[in-house]
Amino acid sequence: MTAETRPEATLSPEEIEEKVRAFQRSIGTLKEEIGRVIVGQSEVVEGVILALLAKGHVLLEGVPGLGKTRLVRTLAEALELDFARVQFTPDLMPSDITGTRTAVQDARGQTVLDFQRGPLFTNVVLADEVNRATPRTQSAMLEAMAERSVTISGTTHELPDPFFVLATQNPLEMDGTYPLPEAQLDRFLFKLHVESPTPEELHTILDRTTGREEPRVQSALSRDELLSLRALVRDVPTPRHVQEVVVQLIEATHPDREAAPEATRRYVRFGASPRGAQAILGAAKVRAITRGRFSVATEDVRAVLKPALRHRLIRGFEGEAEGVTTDVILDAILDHVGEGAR
Amino acid sequence: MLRVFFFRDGPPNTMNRLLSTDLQVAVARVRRRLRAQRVLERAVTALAGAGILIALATLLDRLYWVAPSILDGAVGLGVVIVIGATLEAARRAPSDLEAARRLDRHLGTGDRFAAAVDFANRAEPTAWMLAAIADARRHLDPERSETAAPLRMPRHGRLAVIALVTWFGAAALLIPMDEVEAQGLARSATPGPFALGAVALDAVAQEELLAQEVQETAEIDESLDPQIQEATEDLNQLIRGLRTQNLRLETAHQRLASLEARLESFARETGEDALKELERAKRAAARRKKTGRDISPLLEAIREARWREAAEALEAIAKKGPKSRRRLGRDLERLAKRLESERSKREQKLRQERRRLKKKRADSGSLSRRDRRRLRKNQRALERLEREAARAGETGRQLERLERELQSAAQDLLRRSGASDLSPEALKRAADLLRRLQKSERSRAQMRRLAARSEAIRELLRRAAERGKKGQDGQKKNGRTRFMRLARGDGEPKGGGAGKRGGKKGKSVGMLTRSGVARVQVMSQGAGGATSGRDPSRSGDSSVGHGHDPDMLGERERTPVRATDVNVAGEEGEGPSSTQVVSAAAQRGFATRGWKRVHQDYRTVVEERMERQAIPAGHRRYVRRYFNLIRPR
Repeated sequence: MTAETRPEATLSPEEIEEKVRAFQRSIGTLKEEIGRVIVGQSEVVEGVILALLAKGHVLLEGVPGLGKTRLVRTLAEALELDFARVQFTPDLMPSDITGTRTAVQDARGQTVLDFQRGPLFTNVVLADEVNRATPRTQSAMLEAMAERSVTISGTTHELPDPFFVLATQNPLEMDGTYPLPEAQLDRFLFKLHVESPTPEELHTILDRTTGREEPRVQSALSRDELLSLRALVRDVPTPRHVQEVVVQLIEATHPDREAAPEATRRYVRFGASPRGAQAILGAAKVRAITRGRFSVATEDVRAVLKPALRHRLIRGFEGEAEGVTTDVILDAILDHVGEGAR
Repeated sequence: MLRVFFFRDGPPNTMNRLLSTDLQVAVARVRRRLRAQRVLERAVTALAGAGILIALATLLDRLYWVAPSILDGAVGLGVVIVIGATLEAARRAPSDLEAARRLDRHLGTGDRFAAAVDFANRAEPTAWMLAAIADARRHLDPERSETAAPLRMPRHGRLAVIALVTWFGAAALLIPMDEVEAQGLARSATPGPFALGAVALDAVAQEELLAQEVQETAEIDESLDPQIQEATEDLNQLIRGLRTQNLRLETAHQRLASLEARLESFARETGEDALKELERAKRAAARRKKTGRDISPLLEAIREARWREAAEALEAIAKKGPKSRRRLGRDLERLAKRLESERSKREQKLRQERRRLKKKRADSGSLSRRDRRRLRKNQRALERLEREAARAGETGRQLERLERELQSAAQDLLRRSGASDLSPEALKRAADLLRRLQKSERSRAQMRRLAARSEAIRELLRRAAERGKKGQDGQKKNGRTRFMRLARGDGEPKGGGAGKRGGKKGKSVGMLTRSGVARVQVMSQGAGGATSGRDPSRSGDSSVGHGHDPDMLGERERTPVRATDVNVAGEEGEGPSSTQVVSAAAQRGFATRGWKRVHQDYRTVVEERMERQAIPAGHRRYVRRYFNLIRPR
């Protein structure tokens, strides 16, 4: 039994330190490879990597042409993972993404129903403009994300591991779209905003993409290495006071709790669920280990708070009417929790 | 029990052996400083709050809106708040985790130390936790960790300073200008501007105050001048405050000064000029010449200053029958003329002259140089008379009005002598004026009583202050003792205090006789073997003697010569002048008969002057004290 596969209980502190160093190096390499293709967007890249290692899925929000598809493709290439892109449209059916049973002739010439796998049966799925599909299709997609399996005609088909979905949605064009229900938004670990590049970054993008040869990424991590890293993350311990901060933050998102700040009471209708707390702590663990720490710190919690909770807070009428974003509310919550979260 | 109040590193066994010594030391240091800072913060915040409270109470006390006990209570409460808050903060020590988090924030180590402290206290730390503890040890920078929790200026430090400055300012500076004199008196008796104790009166003083308090019910009279009524009430309040020991010495002096200022103001209005006017009115009434029987009771009442009876007599005149009206009119006219003051006469004369000159100017268009000069002189004289009239005060004005009303009544009587009924209006007005004079007289009497009571209270306060100052004021006391010795005629002590050692004491008494000053040596009883203080060659013990000196009468004289009787006659004459007596008394003591006479004369004059003139508040006491000290013994 090698050190990579032994359970944590049998590892010595020195071996753990070595693993953490290796983890840091691998993630550093992965970021470097992605950085060869993706210019800027460091927060989005880091968010995607954190979500991937925390076994979560990511909802990317941004206008078209910001490199969302390219990011996912690059990630898949750097990790030697299979990649599939699904353009969600209103006429897209659930079976179009999950797969369906079709009549085929077997070796004996008999016609049998065989399961044809859909694009979900891959490691990295890019669900482009997920809000354009009908709720039915969205539901099928989100069920697969949660269960990591697809059930067709009573037969459950496991999805490959790792299974990582990056869904995108366009915040501008809302005509003919079906906004994702809150219950389904909760399935995404992170919701990341893809911002427009700065002028300097735009120069670099133009330099890289308008020449004869485009940059190519090399493999940074194998699939097995990725799975090993994901397993390692779960063992990172959380000090009690950090966990206390997470609980306080979640409590502060609920308008009916005493711990809620004024912004929550005024603008929020429903706060974050326990799944939100799990998302924060899971992502914070990854962030801690990527920074060479052996335990979660409050700064990790602070860093992942917005991407982990911004899609889990349901704004009330006043919040929507006044255009108060969930990021603003989360800032107020951080201020309210104050000393503990610093 | 007491250890919780000291800056220990916390309860034992808080730190775990898994933590390195360096880390434990660093965390303990931060913990101590956090605790010290917290204590400082709490103490200063409490000090600011207490300072505001005490400053407010001091301000109210200085404005006499609250009793001194309120200020005492506020000071006590403030002290309790500060001490309580400090002890409470000292008792609550920050945890190791809190100190470790402060260390993390300072060094930017991302909760490594806090996690290490947490994990080290776990019952069964995992390998990951041990790795985290080891990682924390690697990230510790002992030098930088020393500056993790520096002591800072407390947040409410500025507020505390402002509150204290306000307190000091209110205590030391906020003294009303019109009571500075009283402050001066009080300052000599109080330890300083922050004296908090109320006046503590002895039993004798309490009895005297009780006697004063008993007087008060008899003295409040609705018919008195409102100013005097108010002053009476204030004095009674002061007495009550002193009896219940709710007043500070300084406050009592200030109130006394305020009271005396009001009495002086009243005395100015009904002052010496007013008394002169009254005396003149009495003298005028005493001249009975050419007046009939009917008006006699009125004149008698005015002469004896019985104004109410005078008013009744005047009203009786109004009821007389028509036959005697003409005579009454003439009598009243004469009385009015007698009552007319010199000033009124002069004023009347000046106004006539003025009218004449103005008429002349109106007729001829201009005045000669001489007339112009006379007009200007007339103007100045009139102004001077107006000033004199103002000095005569309310009493003088009432007397003038009385004279006018009597004049008017007389003319009325003469004009209507034939009429069946008599118009009593002028006479009624005159009677009212007489009643007002009665009221003024009573008010003046009450004013004198109040002034006397005020003096008595000031003396009580002085005694209370003296008692408080015993032992601190030895030098002054010695000076006074020396003065008393001089007053007794002991003369200056000489011979290095030998008199104290002597069992016998020589006492020189200067005696003033009609024929001159004789000097008599008086020997007191004492133990034998002692000597006079003036003889340094012999010394006696310091013990008190008993029995009599066997040589008290000395040895029997056995003069061999024959005695010759000689008659010595005293010198005839007036004796020494007052100046000589005063001079002799100053050198040889105040125990002569001549001095007694001189002292009595001066004291009478002084009492009279003090009653009539405006002596500054508090100065009367010094004058009386001086005369008391130099009284004949």
